[in-house]
Amino acid sequence: MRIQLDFAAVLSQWPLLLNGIAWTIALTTVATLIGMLLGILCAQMRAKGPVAVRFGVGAYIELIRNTPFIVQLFFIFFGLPVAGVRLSPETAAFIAIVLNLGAYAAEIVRAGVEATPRGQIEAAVSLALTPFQVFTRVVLPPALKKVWPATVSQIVIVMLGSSVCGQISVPELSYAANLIQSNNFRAFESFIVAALLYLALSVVLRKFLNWAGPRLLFGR
Amino acid sequence: MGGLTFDWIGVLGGAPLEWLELGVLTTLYVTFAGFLVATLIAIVLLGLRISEKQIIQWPAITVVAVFRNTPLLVQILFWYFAGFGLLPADWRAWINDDHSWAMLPGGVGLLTPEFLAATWGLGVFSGVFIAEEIRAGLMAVAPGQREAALAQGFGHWRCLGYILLPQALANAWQPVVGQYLNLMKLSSLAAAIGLAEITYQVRQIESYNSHALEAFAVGTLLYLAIGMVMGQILLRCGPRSGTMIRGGIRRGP
Repeated sequence: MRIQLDFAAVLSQWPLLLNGIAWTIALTTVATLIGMLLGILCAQMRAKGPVAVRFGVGAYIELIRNTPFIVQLFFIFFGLPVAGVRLSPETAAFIAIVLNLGAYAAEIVRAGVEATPRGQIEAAVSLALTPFQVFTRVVLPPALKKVWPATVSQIVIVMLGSSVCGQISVPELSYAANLIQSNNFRAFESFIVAALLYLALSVVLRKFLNWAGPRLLFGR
Repeated sequence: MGGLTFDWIGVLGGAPLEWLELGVLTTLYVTFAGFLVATLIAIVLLGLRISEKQIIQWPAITVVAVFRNTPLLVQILFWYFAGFGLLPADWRAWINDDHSWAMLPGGVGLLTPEFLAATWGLGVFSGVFIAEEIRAGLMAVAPGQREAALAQGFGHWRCLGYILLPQALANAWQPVVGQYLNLMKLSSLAAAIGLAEITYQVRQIESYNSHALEAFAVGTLLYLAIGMVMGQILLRCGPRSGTMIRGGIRRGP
């Protein structure tokens, strides 16, 4: 059996692929920005909040971390309309991906925050910093620095996981690839192209985050 | 949420219950099969990766980079739509035949394109991660251990089998268990190629009687329960750091 490869048939659909890449980047960016904030908030709530809040946040984190992302996404997209909340596929995807990264980020950030030496906090308090200042100026930057490699890995995982959003017809990259192969039956070529694009995206994303983290978040 | 009523019988009775049972069985089977494939792949990759020859390391590094940096969904779709098509035509015909002997208890077909593609995709993806976790565990073993073993006359392979790997496995066991649990959770992606596991069945119930909330709640709890049981079993069976000499992993290569 001879296999004829025809990558041109896939690459000629570049507007679809480009749109897919844009959606993948959009999902990842929103997940990173809001998800990290949510994660930091949850980490603090789980460590310092009242017992009820602590329990609630803990339940949220364990529920998200112990169930598949696709089930979370389906729950939001197919389940919530029954309760009267009807969302577009895109909105559902954004909510699911933010909630997902938030839970994982909370655990990662918590590990970093717990590793802060007590003396640093005491020193900051004795310098009359408010609790908020202590957290944002003294505790958080070194904590983020310690856990940045783990955070970068998690963000890359979320970027790759955003491919699942295609299952509720968000037009991201894997949805585009699947659409192309169902139009022209070039399954091999279109998934190879998608895989290479994801590979490039994750290499670039990793490089960017390793570059941006020290400069923007915790000053070398 | 006024007026929201739950009807659990619509999910936990009649046809939906049968579907869910089939779904749980399928998830368990594909997880177990993926577990075996992942372990084999991890052993092979680790063997290549810890070789001292660059030429042998290189393919393993490439495989690891490619499979870790592309989404599992794309990989599964690739194996199902493209990989399966690359098999010789008579193999495909043979797989698509009826095989009464390849029926697992509960009526889950082992020799179907869906099951094979899902198992293989999950196995390769997880195997790559597991190999890297164990390699990290290997790097965390104090260099003095290796030097001491070599000084006592251990050869390269015996040193690896008796001294380094047991400690590496103990170091890495927690993340390795995490990867096996991840494999179980990720088996939900096989719903995309029509493998009738829990996620697929939940969606089927949802379109059958539109009990979406109940169906997804049950699906979530099922994954949670399977994960907790599986995690406990794996953690108990595995080596613990600090007790590796008496902990029952003195088995050599």
